[in-house]
Amino acid sequence: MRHTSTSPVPEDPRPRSIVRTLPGLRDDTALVEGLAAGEPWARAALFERYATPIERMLRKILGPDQHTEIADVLHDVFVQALGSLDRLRDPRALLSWMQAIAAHTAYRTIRARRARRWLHFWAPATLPEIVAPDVDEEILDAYRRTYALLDRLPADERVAFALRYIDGMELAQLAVVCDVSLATLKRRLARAEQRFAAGARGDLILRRWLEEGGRWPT
Amino acid sequence: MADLNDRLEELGKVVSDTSDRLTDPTVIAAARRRWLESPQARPARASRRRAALVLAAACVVCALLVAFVTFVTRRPSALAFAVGTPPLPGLVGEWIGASADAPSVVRFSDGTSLTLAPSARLRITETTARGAGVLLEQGSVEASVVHTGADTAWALRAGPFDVRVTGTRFEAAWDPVAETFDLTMREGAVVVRGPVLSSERTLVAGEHLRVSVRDHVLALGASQPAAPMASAGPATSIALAAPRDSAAAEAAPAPIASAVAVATSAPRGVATGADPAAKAADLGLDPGWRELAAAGKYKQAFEATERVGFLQEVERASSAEVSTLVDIARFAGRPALAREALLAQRRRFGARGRSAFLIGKTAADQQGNAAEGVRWFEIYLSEEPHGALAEQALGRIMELTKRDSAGARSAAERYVARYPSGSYAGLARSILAR
Repeated sequence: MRHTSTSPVPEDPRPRSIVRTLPGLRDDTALVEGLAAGEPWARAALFERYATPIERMLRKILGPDQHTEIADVLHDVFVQALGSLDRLRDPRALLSWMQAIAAHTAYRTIRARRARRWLHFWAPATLPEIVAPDVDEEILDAYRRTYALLDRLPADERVAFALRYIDGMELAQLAVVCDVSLATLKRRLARAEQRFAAGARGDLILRRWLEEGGRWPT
Repeated sequence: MADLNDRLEELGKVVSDTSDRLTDPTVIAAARRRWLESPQARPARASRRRAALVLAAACVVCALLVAFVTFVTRRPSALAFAVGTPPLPGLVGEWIGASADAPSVVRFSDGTSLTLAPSARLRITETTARGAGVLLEQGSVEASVVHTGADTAWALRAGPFDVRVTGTRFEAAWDPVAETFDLTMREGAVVVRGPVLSSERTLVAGEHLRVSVRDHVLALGASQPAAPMASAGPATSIALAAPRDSAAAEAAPAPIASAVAVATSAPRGVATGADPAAKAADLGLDPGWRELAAAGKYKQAFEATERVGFLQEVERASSAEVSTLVDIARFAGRPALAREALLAQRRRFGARGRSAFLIGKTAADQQGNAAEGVRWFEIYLSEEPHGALAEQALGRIMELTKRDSAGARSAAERYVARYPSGSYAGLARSILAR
C-alpha cells in the first residue's frame, strides 16, 4: 500500500486503494493472461483454483484402481492445460475448458490402462481391495462393483456415464466437457445406461440397487 | 426409463459419496508439489510413460532379433557321416558291414571316425549336433571320437553294454555268440555300464576291459594286446588293434601279470564256487591283485599292485577295493603303504572310526611309532567313542603310554569306568595303583 501523508488534499476517509490484487482473487481472465505471460503466480493460482474440482472429477471417472495414480493424472491435466492454453477461446470458460481436458485425460488413461492390463498379470475380474473401516460394507461393495462394471464399458461411455450419474453433471455441461453435441451425448449415455443395466442384472448386489432402489432390508 | 435413471442417479450418488469419503488428501498435495517443481510444465508422466513404452518395445524387438539370430546362426545341425572308400553318404539306422577281408571306415562331419574290423557290423542309430549313437552288432570297431566341447555326447552300445564317450580313442568289440565284450582304451576316458559290472565303471587310457557275460567274469587290466578269449570269435578288438605276423606274435611279450585283474560280481570274500584265479587262467589272463587277494595270496597280490603302481591303484579304486589294498599292504608287510591307503580312504571316502584305529594299529605294531599309535587311537575314540573297538583302543593307549604318565592314568580311569571287567582291567588297575 502507498501512504499519501504528503498529499496536501484532505485524507480520504474511505479505505486506501488496493494497488495489487492477490492472485487468488483475480478472475479467470486475469489468470489466463498471467499464464500466457508466464507469470509464476498464475501457474500456482491455476492449480489452487481448479485442482480440487478436477481431482474430484477424475476420481469419479476413474474410480479405485491400484494401477492408476490420480496424482499423476491430475498433474497431466494441468500440464495439458498449460500446453494448450492458446486454444482457449474464452478465458471466462476456463473451468469448462479444464473439465474438458480432464475428461479427455481420463479417457486416455482408461484406454492406456486397458492396453497395459496384460502386462500387470492380474485378473481383470478381481475387485480392487479397498480398506475403509468407516464405510458401510454394503455401500463399499456397491461402490466396488459399480466401477468393476464401468471397467467393461467403452471408455467414452464410461466417462459420460460417470460424469452424469456419479459426478452429477448436467447434460448441457456434460456435452461441452465431452466435446460432443447434446444429441450425441444422449445417445452415448443411453448406450452406457443399457450396458450398465445389463451388467448390473448379472450382479447380485447391483441388481438389487437397480430393481429395488437404495439399500434393501437385511 | 425414468425409473432406471432415478435408480442410476441414486446409485451414482452413493458411489459419489463413497468416493468422496475415500478421498486421499495426499493426492492433491503430491500433484501440487510436482506441478510447482516442474516450471517447464512438461508432461512428465506422459513422457515417462512414452519413454517406458518405447524402451519396452525396443527390448522386445531386440530380444526377438537376438532369438532369431541365435536360432538361425546357432541352430545345431546333426552330424553327417559317410561310409567306406570312396565315401558314400550314410543313413541313420542303415546296416553297415565290413567285408571279411578288409576294414571299413565311417567318417563323421566333426572328424570322428569309426574303423570297422573285417566282418564287423554296426548301425548308426542316431545323430545329433553333439555326437551319435552307435550300435555295434558284431565284431570290433576302433573309434576315434573328436572332443568338440563339454557337451560332446557319443554313445556306443554293444549287446547289453553301454559306453558313454565324450572324446577319446578306443577299441570296442562284441561277440554275440560268445557273449564277450572287449574295450581297449587308447586315449581319454569312457564310462561303461552293463552286466557283470556292478556299477558304472570308468575306463581310462591304457586300460582294457573284458567281460564274459556267459561266465559272469570281468577282466580289467592294461591295454596291451592280449590273447583273444578262448570262446571269443575271431572278430575281437585284439585282432583289430595290431595285426601281426606269426613271428611278431611269438616275439610279443606275454601279458604282464599286473595288466589283468579278475573279479566276479559276487561280494568280496564270498565263495563263488570256483577259484577266480583259475577262471582267469581259463580266460587266458594272468590274475590281478583283486583276484589274488580274494584267494588270500596277499604277497602275490601286492606284487601285482606294484606293477601298476600301488598308490595309483589306491587313488582310483573304489572304497571296498581300497580296503582290500589296505589288507594287501598290511599282510604284505608294507605298513607305510597301508597307512597311505587308509589315509586315502579317509580323504576320498570320508571313512572314519575303523580307519583311524587301523592307522594307529599299523603305526604301533608295524611301524614302531607308539606316539602316532596313541594319537590315532585317540582319534578313533573321538570319532567312535562307543565303537566296537573302543575297549581295544583304550587298552592300546594304556599299553603304549608310559605307565607313570598322566595319559596312562587318564586312559586307565576311563577304561575302568567303562570296562571294569575288561581284558585290560588288570593293567588299568595296576596303573591306577601307582
